[in-house]
Amino acid sequence: MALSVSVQEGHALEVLDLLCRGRALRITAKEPLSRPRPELVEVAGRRIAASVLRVLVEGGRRERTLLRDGRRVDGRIWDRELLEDFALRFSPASYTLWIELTQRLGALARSSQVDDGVGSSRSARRQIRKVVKIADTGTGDWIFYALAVRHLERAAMPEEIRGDLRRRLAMGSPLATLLALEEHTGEGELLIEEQLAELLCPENVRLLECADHLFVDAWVARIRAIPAEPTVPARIVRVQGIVRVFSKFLGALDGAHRLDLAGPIIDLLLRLTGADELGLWAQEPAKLVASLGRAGEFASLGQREALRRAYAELVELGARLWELRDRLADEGYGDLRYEESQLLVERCEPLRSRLGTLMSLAGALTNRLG
Amino acid sequence: MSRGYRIRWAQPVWHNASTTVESGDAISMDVGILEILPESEMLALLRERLAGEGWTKDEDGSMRTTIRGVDVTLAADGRTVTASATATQGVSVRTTQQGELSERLGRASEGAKRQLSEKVATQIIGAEAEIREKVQGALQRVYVEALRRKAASMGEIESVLEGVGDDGELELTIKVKV
Repeated sequence: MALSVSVQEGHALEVLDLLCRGRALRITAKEPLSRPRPELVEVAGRRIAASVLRVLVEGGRRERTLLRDGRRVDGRIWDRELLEDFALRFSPASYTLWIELTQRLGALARSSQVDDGVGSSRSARRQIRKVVKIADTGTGDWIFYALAVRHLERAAMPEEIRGDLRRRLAMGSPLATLLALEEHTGEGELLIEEQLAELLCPENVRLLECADHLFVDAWVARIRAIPAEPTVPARIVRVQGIVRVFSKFLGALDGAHRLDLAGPIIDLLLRLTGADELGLWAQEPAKLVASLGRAGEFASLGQREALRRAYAELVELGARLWELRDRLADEGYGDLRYEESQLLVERCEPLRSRLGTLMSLAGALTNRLG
Repeated sequence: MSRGYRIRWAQPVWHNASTTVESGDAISMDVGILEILPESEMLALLRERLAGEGWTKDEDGSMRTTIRGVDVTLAADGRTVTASATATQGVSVRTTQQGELSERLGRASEGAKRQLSEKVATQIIGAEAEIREKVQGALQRVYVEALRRKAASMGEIESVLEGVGDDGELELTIKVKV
């Protein structure tokens, strides 16, 4: 479809490309578009749908072993018999995200929107609430929000604004919550547990099966960025938030009898303990401990210890996962979770040789004796 | 030629204020005792060992000692060793402006507290290695004793050989006749 666009319309489409693909903005519009014509809305709708479908296609095209009604089945997620009754559903929230961000991105990107020592200004927070709707979002919106979380990392804006946008997007999408490892407990919104339960219900769980390839890189980046948080209390809050999201995710997978979907967590632990440059946790424990903060940054030894203990809980995710694996390994042939356990046991096996690394790191972080 | 001048110079009235600032800090170390014997027996052995090294026992079962001026406590459940220190310092200020007195005292107290915090932290960090060495050493002797008892429960001990391995770790070889 050939379509001539004005500068404002070009700007609006660039904002959409930023959200969907992480492309930088080149056009600036003095008066951003607020009421797009139907043809442009159609183009935008197609782009959103194509970006969302690309995530699903990439994740679902290869043949793998999946769990259906507690039984192992080989095939592609998109095979008719494996897909069951999955449907992609968009609500007006995706349109709102695009068009409201088009209008407000310029203002939100200004550093004047940040109050020193407090974070985003009240006006910025109000604008963010208008940009990101969180009620009654559908499966399509969940993926679009997750893509937005990933790509907003590339947008030029104050870190505080980006953080608030990320949190708000996470409130509207369980996939965005997982991708950003962003804890949110605001009143009136769905709790993370409820969000994850909704994601793991049979008609939506295909999303998680397809989107698992999105997580690992984002998680590694998030964990590597912990020491970059400006203050030690901010680092503690960040680590504790990450730990709680992982913990709730594992709890939700266990509750839904879908621990076979814990693969991205296993891959994360393998990546972090690997021998290459991404192997943040493979280095000498003392080096990692020192990297969490310089001596002068801590108000007290107690604060230093609080950060290290929080980080130790993150490292102990490996032990937690292994405990679940051991517990599930007790399932005998014919038991309710036997087939799930076989998938998990096989998936966990590469982690066995890394457990020592994880244990000694957790020991160094908690000053373990004995 | 010289001339005399009379000048009036009001004697300043000095206002004084003083206070004492205190700063405390602590670190804790997790103790993961190997369960060679049941946990309660291992803990009793550890307490016994520490008592032999001069640690005192509190009513609640915790043990404490002082190493390089740092208070060291083994928790009653034996799972944590805490090293803590506190320091106090007197701060006094004087000024001719009474209105400034409390502000000056606050500033001086803050500065003194910062210095004290650094001093306390340095003191604890300075003692940390020695604390670890002492507790680790005690735990090692506890493991040796626990292994002897375990071996004795399995049969008659024929020989016990203690040595140091290539990696510097203690090596214990117990031969048991079963």
